[in-house]
Amino acid sequence: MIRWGPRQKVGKRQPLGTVLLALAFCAACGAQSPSTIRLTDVTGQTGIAFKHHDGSSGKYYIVETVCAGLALFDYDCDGDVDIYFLNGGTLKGANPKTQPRNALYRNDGNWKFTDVTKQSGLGDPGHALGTAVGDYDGDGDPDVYVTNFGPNVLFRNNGDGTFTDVTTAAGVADGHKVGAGANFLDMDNDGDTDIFVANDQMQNFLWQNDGTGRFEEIGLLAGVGYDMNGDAMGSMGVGCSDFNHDGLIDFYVTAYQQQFPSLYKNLGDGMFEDATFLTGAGAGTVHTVTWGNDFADLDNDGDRDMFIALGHLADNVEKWDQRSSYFATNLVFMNTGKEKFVNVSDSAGDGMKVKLSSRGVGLDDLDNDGDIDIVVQNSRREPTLLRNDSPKQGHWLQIRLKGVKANRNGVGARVTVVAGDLTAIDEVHSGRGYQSHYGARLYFGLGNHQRVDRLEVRWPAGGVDVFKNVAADQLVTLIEGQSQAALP
Amino acid sequence: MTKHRKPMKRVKKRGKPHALSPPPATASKRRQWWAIGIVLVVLVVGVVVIWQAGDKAGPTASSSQSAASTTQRNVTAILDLRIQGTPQSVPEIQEEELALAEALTRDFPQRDAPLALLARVHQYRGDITQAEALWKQAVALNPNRSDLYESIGQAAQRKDLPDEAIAWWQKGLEANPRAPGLRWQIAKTLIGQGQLDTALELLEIERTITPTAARNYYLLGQVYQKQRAYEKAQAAYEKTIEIQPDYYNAYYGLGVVYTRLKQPEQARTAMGHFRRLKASADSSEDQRIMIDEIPHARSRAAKLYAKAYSLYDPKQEEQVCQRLLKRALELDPNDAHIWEKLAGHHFLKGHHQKALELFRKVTALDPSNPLPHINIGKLYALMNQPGRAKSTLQQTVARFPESDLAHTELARFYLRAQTDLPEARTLMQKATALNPTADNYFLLTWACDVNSDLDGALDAIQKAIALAPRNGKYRSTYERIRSKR
Repeated sequence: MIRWGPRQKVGKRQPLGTVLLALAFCAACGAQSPSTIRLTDVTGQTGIAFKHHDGSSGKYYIVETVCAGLALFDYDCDGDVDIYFLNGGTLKGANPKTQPRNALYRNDGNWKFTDVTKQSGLGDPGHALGTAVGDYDGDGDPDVYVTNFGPNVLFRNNGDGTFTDVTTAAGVADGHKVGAGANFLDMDNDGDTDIFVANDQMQNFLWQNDGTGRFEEIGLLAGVGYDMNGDAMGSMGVGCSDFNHDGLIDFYVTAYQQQFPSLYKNLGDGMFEDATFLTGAGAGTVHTVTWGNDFADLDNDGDRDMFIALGHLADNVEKWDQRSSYFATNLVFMNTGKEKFVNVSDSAGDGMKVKLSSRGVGLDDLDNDGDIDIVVQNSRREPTLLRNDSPKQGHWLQIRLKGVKANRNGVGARVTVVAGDLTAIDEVHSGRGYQSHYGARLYFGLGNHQRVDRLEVRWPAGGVDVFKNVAADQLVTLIEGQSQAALP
Repeated sequence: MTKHRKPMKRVKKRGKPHALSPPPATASKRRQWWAIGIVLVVLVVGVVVIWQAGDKAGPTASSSQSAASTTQRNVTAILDLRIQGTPQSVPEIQEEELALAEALTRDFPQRDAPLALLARVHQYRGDITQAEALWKQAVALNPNRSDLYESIGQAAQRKDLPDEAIAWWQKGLEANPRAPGLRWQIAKTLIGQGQLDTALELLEIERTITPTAARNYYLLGQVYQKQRAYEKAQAAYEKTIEIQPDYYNAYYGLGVVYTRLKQPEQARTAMGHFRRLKASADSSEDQRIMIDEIPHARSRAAKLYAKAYSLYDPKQEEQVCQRLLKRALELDPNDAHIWEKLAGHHFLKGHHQKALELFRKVTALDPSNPLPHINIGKLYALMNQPGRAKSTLQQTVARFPESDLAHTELARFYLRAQTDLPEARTLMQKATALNPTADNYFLLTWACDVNSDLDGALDAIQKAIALAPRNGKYRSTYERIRSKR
């Protein structure tokens, strides 16, 4: 029987030896080493003048509050990652001085960006919510699809730095609906692409592909439809990754205020378990709304950490709920490698002190220095660009895929990296986090491993390529069917 | 030359004619007047001092009568503002709730109950910080209120401070080791932290305190599920559903467990129930929010007035009490509990016929409540209508066979009337089986005694003493029966 009585006071002096032994025991038990993740706010030096407009007019339309996402992709195929910011439109009752538009910023290197919206033709004036990027016409350059409150837009990349609106020709407008977040991934490791859909205030969907192009909704039975108690969450964004290196893709779904995001740990056989509390992946999130999120190895130690964007959707929330606030600082969780996450935001640099109402997030290596940087879309404000200044302690490998039989960007391809005792997997997804796109290059932190022993690519068209003995700390481009080609 | 009525004492003094001293009787009269004057002055000063001191310090808990005359003004002022009409908007109702709760804290500044009511009002308004502060003030005044510790712990939990929440719930258990629900709260939090074994131990204890609470079994299911003990989890979820068939979370858990046990058809069936029940619950909630927002707010405000009534002494402050209940019923005329309070008020005041009418109304509003039926039976007894009293109480027992109170009251009637004594004993045996309290065992003692069942009486009084060892009346009864035996 548990005695829930008063705490006992230590009335006697403890011998020094006992104290030291206790300290040593605590250290041995795994009091983890302090986090080395450092994120620096470099927004001011980038030349980015974009400011998000939510189309508000004082009438508090819900679509003002849920925008927007962003895309990180190499639009001009020059080897660095550019940024496409989505913007709100002009909603009923709003009367802006200038028409808000989406904005494309070209990465000029060294954290300098140039506004190329006008010449690119990507300055759509619609009320943008989300985006996905893919080479729909297979011509080698990425095209852009924007989901709006209103008709969606498909932009074809002309290959010369410009885009053309081909929505009508392609027949993909499907307007006057509200695009929500979804992820294509192989959750059951059977080689075909399944779909996870995060739904607000109702069951999330997990569409299992039966391999013939037909899907069965199994979210409820799989355990990802609701939280551990069977309650629906205000699901916002979803991050997909294998956080515990068991070879199975897990989900992290962000949620509304006074709700914890859900970390669904993949158990295999189409079953998931809500591991949020057990892993500590919900700490510090309950006070406000969580939006864009994803896993990324920010310190290159081989474990996927996590970044989460926060901010309430009601700018007057403090009036009726003093537990919350419109602005919030974002969160970074360090993955300890023992299926635990630790909130290290306070020690992760000035970049984590930015306090705005954030929405979409993009994670990619913007300065090609071998670590993951972060771009945050903030509602009604300028974005936040966070340069990863974590100490260069661990090795890494970046992989770009080029499909031949499969789609050009290798969307849907799964890569398995084996380096010593480290086995990690990742997939190329189109559309990630909250209404955003990034990660065309797969990124693996390798810790102390200087080489990858084995690298396997499973292409969506069915082929498998294997590469061996790949040196770390480089970006490699893997072409479908060329597994015998030598890699540096 | 003065006429002398009495012989005068001459006092010789040199040079001057001698003044005659007043007679002793006159001197004493002056002293008497002086004494009276001094007493009057002291009295006046005393009254002034006390009056001024009362103004500065305010009423104390012990001087409830003087407090009542001062504090009536506070709550009366609130009631006067609401003389006619009912509020037409939720903000209006919330303002009235707040004004009433604040008036109660001014009326009873050293009491925990009004602070707890004000805290609840702030909680409904979304001001958890203020609510938490008030709960803490209340528990400082009355550390035995385990329900306040529960509220403070829940506030900490909402702030994502689980360890602080658990600490407060532990304090609640220190105040009352058998407080229902606190171990459940702690267990739920510990499950989230992965401390499954401790959670299990707590739930086993909680089950002994609240054996019919479905949520205990639900949490057990959650623990077993996390421990991968899927058969045990299944049994726990099924027990949850047996107790509370609309517990949709349990169906969800059952579905998950069946999936783990590779029983897809059962999983689908369970999830089907989950979907249906959840949709029904969500629909009811949505409808309530969309349609019933104002009636819901009025109902809550009415309950606050009813709770306010409980703070005042109906014998000393009848008008205030009546007005509070009247206002409660203006806000929510369908609340059976408030009508029951009003009926009880008239019962206490000796307005038996009025009380009877009101209790009858309560039976119509809340047919599942045995208490008004019992009170009707008691009223008939008080009104010297034993036949009606007996038949009413008998019908109550038949209608509510699981109510120990119904059995107790009929037994008490028989014992007082010295009739149907064997039946009285049978009734009390049933009552103690339903609810083994010290009072019930004491009444069983009486019933056994009058039936010359001294062994039964002794056994019953020993059980009463075991449950309430400090009750002197039980001990003296034990001695009396033991000596008879």
